[in-house]
Amino acid sequence: MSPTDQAVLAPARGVDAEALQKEDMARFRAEVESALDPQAPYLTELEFSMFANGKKIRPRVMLLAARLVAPAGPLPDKVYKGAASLEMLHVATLIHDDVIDEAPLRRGLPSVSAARGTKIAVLVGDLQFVQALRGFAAAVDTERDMALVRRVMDAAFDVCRGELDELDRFLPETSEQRRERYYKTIDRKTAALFRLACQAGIDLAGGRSRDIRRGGFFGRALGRAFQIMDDVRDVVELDALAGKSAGVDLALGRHSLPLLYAYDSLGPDSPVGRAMRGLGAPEGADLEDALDMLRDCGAIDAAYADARREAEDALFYLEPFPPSPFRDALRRIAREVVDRPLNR
Amino acid sequence: MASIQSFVTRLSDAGGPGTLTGSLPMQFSVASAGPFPLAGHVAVAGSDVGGSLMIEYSELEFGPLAVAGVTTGPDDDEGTHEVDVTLGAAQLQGHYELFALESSRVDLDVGGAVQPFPALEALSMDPTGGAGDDPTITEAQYDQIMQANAQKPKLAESPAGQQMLDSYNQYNDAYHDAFKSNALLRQYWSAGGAIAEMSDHTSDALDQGTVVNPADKTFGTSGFTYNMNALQQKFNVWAACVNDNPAAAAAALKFGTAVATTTGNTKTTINPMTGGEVYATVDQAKPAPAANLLAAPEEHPLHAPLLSIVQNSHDDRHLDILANQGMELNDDEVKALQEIYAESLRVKDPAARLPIASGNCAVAVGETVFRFRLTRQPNDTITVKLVQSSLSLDGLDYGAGQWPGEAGDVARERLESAAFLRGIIEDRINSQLTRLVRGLAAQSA
Repeated sequence: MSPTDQAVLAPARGVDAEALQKEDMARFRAEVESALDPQAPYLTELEFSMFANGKKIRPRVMLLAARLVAPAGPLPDKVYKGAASLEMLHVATLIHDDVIDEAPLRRGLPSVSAARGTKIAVLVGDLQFVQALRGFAAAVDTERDMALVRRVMDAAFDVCRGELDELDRFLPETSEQRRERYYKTIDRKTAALFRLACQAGIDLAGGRSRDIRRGGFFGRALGRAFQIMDDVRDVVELDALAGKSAGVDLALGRHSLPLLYAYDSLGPDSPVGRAMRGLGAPEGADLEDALDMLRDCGAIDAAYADARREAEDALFYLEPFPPSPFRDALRRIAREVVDRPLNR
Repeated sequence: MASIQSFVTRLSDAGGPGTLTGSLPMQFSVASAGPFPLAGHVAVAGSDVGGSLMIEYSELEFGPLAVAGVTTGPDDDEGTHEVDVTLGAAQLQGHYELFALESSRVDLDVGGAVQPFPALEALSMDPTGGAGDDPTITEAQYDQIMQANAQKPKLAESPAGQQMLDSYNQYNDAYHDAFKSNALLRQYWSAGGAIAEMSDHTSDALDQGTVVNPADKTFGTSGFTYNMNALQQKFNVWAACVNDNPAAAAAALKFGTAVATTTGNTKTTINPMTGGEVYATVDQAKPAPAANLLAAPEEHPLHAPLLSIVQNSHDDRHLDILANQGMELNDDEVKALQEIYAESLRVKDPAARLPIASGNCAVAVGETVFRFRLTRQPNDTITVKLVQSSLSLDGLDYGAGQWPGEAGDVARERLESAAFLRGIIEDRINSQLTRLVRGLAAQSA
């Protein structure tokens, strides 16, 4: 019987779930370090700090998803390797995002593009992308796992498509079509990695097809809630707590969900509508006024309601999994995404 | 030209025009907030189906408003200045409505195997369940898992099989969304237990190398053959998808007709096959030409007759086209298709609002400190930005003890932890004070 088989069949009674989660995260971090080794000559402290800091929500979700079907004992090595690759994929997108947004800062530190220039940033981002794919390919050890490599490629492709979709300022005619386009974009840009995290975690831990599929929908809903909350917080979170200025999405004319709702009620010729159509973004006091318009027209509420709906959906997909501390932890993550206090 | 210091001095004056005290209204008002979802589904007294739990606020008022102090720090080198405005103790009060938006509970595992939840429980690996037994799955269940996991790689070994998997993956979300949103599709899917029995039977047949689609066995209380139900369900999926995602609908149809073409199986013609024979057939089949895959959904020969049927504008000719392909539809099956299609249109309508509880909500807050950053701009105007607020509406009281049933229990639990939801209301109040201070800064320029 393989380690995977043992993990599937092993009893969970008496398992110290908290200790297991800590051990899982420690093994994930060790895999990240080992994956960074071959790149070390090309990286600076800045890139290493990107891997050291952050909440690590995607690998955390992946490891917890694996634990849904393998609640005891060590997970197969390939799960930890996969989690490290997933984080690498995420860091690649952050580096490229900062190039696209010309962002000077990332989590309070200079962005790679600001510190090392655009050319190096693009290539260092590429390095993470490719190393992530290599990591997934190296992690698989069965014929069945090969399907996962395909899934990883698809997710990476989706992330790139989502980034491009976001730059496209085309506004479909009806509000329903605009929101449909928004969800398509965030499903690719953000939710694809959450979905991959859950599918890969369950798959590599030996879960059933139905569990992999269901886990994917949990990841999609969680990723959507995560992105919508990012959009909402962009408007209502105070600068010091957000680590960036409020209203970046409006200033850049991004088609975030609150802005799309505001477009519906304020119209295309409002300051919000004009910014979204690329006809000049508000600045300074005008930006503050436009953010207040977003509050007053109900756009924040509508978007937040959608985020809560997605988080509730995420909980729904967890229900068929056996009760366990790991399922509870995933529930808490989904709730935390939409319940985390504002401005505290 | 106003200096920041003179603006702050005026801000803190006891009263009169241009001062904060003189400009504060009796209270800040928030006309409405929400509705916000609290739970995906709850049972509601007086409703057969229940719905998604929501809360909505109206006529929220925060007051009385009184300046308890304005304190300032020194100007910094870059012409910015922070000022703390403290408002005295106040109360937030307003009205709430707790209600549900009517919708059926989703009782199928639509994200997974699309089986009823109770069937899943039988396969559950409940680590807390059992009376002291080790919570392992059984060997038989384990075998079933391994067997199911082995199917996809087998299919992926041939071009035609891979094409089938690709098509399924491409429309995975669309089929899921149809099952999630369409209560009638779910109802017909699980009616009589045929699908659940077919699933168990398929598993046994693959395990033992016996026939998957026997001619002499029926499934569920309605007595469907394997072929009848499998192909009818594909039509049902088509009916649920055709309005929102015609390509996904067409893919379901293509799969059905591809099965007929490659294996000779139709609803009424049963060509019994084992799992091995199915894989061998798929293995030898040629993948569909690219042109077929790219064809517009409405070009599928069954699209037009089926659309007439679901829209109830059909006649015998349309039914004959289907029958000639071995896809006869009886009156019950036509009715099912029409109901599923109608439901796919109806789900876009606003849902009925089921009242659960309503009343007043309130919370008393002590002194609240709002920190503003004032920045003098090159044109000598002063910009005002809120950088910190101690306003907290934690403890917002709804008199929730009286809320009835499951909905009440769930609402209490959800609202207890809904810090961001309260934060949305806090933000509205914060923004009203900020606008006021910003207005005063503009006046002083």
